[in-house]
Amino acid sequence: MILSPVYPLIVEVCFYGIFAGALYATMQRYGTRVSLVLLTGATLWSTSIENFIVLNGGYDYYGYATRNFPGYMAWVGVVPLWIILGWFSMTALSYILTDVLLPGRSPYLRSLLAASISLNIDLLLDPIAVSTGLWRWTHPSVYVLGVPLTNWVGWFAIVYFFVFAFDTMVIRKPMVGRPVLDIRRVEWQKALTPFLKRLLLLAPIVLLGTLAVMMLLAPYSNLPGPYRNVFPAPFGWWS
Amino acid sequence: MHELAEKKGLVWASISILSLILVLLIMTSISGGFAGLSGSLQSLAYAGVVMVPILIVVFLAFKKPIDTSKKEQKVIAGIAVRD
Repeated sequence: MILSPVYPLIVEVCFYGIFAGALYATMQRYGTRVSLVLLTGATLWSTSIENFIVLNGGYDYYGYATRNFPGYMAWVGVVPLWIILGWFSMTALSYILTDVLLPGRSPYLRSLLAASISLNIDLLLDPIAVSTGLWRWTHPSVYVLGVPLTNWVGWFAIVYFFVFAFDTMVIRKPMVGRPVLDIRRVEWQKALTPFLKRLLLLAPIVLLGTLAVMMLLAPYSNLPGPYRNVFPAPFGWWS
Repeated sequence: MHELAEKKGLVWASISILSLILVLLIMTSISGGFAGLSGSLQSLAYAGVVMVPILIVVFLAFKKPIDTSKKEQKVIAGIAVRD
């Protein structure tokens, strides 16, 4: 159901507010330097993945677009800014809760809990977004509550690998694998480069894994096409 | 000093998460119902059920530092008694 054109703008502003809260919480807990490393990594990570999937016909954000206005105020490529900042907020907040609940535990376990918390939030966010047209899924898959299962598998993987990279390359000393004694004294330049390198290494795993799940689920699609996307062939897989 | 900042971080994280949940619940109520569910009431019921685990996680996160300080207090009390 498409609501008033003001609705997506209100949602956008609300998510900017939540982003401000999440950033402040991160800065309080880890200091400014580590928070900026986290923000930089999250922005690059989500911007690349989101733009890649939109340009390949997975979904789009043009439910409220008109000839004169694209529906949202600020964009990063073909993805609204609030989506990128919202992704940071959900991941950072999940990570803080994980850090409190599982201090000093294995990065695999911590990543698992953080990804589960993020997925938990997305189990509600995605059905709402679909039902109100904030974004539109445009690929064949098994749909539950209007959301393809691919999304939830992909969402879990994207958060899991991101948190794993952050936990192992920034929060723990890369060489000894133990939590750093004073996280506020971390030199951000020294933390950012290995963190981004690890993200670059993990990105193909996430993208290829999600693509494999997409291909696996496509024959069992319970949503009849055609799948109209604003980015058709040659970049769309099935348009 | 750092402990206080860490606790403030947790408080702000919880405020942000609870704000997010509130926004999502309002969005659910005006959505007119999710695909596959009949009406807003069922969608709200779904939203309520789905948000239970995250609320439990926030609650546990808050409870944890309190437990730790209790343990610390017990340790300090033990030392004081021994002295």
